[in-house]
Amino acid sequence: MAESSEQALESGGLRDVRSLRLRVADDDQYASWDEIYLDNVVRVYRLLYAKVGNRADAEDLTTDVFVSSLRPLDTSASRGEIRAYLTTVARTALARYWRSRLGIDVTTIDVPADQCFVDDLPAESDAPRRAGRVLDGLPPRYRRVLELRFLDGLSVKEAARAMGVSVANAKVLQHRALRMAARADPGDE
Amino acid sequence: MTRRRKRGVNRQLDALASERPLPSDPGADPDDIDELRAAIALRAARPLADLPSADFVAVLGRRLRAETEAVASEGISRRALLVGAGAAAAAATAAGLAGVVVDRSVLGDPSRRSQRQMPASGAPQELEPDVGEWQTITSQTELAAAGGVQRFSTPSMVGFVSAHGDSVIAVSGACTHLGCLLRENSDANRLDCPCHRTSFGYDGRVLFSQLDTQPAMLPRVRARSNGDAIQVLIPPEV
Repeated sequence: MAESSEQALESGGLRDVRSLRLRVADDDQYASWDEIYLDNVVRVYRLLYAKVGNRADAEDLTTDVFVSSLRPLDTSASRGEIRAYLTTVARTALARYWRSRLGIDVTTIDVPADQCFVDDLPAESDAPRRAGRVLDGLPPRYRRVLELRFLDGLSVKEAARAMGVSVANAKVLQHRALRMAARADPGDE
Repeated sequence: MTRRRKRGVNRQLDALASERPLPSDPGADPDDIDELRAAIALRAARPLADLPSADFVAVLGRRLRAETEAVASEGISRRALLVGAGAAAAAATAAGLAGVVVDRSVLGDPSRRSQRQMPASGAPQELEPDVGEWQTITSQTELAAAGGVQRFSTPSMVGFVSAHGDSVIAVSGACTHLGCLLRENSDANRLDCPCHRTSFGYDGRVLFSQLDTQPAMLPRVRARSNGDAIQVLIPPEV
């Protein structure tokens, strides 16, 4: 149990459930669905993009999250509760996505359960820093093939040409490099 | 690893490199998944890659506005539905107090749920014992003194009763996942499961759960005020 993240949810030690509405400060609530959406769409999208790595799937999943939250979500809930709720829905959507793509439950490409309790995400994504660290730790040829393939978006053939190796060789390099990168960054388990 | 397996992950890596949606690969092994995960992390690390396009934000925003208007215009029939649910109705309208919350069908599978569909499973299971009697478990005065929520325990069950405006709601005190007894977290206005991180509202709805499959709402126990006494309908003591 993460005490601090649990506390982040609270709107201030409310004990009397009957006066919940009255005592929640106004600035802790959203004025409308529109505001909920605008305040959270980037947050939810980034969370999902970081786990699926492509725009089309990130957009589909983001759409899922908001459309399916529309009815059940009580707009008068506190900001923190609504964010936590959206994160939980995103997490569920992602689990379903991996089941459909890989046929099994994948727990290593997941939004950590803890994050459902965190009120806010950092303003800046730490993905670049993290990836930079991982790339720095790889042998030069491994690093190069990953940069060409996944940062520059080249095909295997193009990457092979740029590196002066055969396509088969580039494929092998890519697989080995990815596995080494995965070991260097075991993710949010 | 077999060559056939590699074909699946190769197609996925090609899709990622060219920013196409991920094809499925039912034969993925843990190595493949690691590779995929590393490639995704790299894609997400490109500057500004993880920001949604302005177009996407605008289009989804319009869609949601249209949907909210549709929901608002259905408000009346929705309320009628709740009133029809009888004893649970007052409780359900008060459920807004607990905040954000949802039932299992929604959390379980957002995409498969039709957007027009009424939340049919929004009404919680109500415990109706074959033989029940109204037993006094506390009083209005005590409940108010306890901050609006009290645990009760009888030989046949444990539960929590809470005040919601003029009505009272009683729910089972056992987690619907594996039956651990819930604890009141009065600072957070919720019931926490001590076993797996799962929390319920005082009205029984699932607030949070670490479980992949969301547990069901807590069953409601029929509750009423009888003068100052608060009573629940439960099996008689033998």
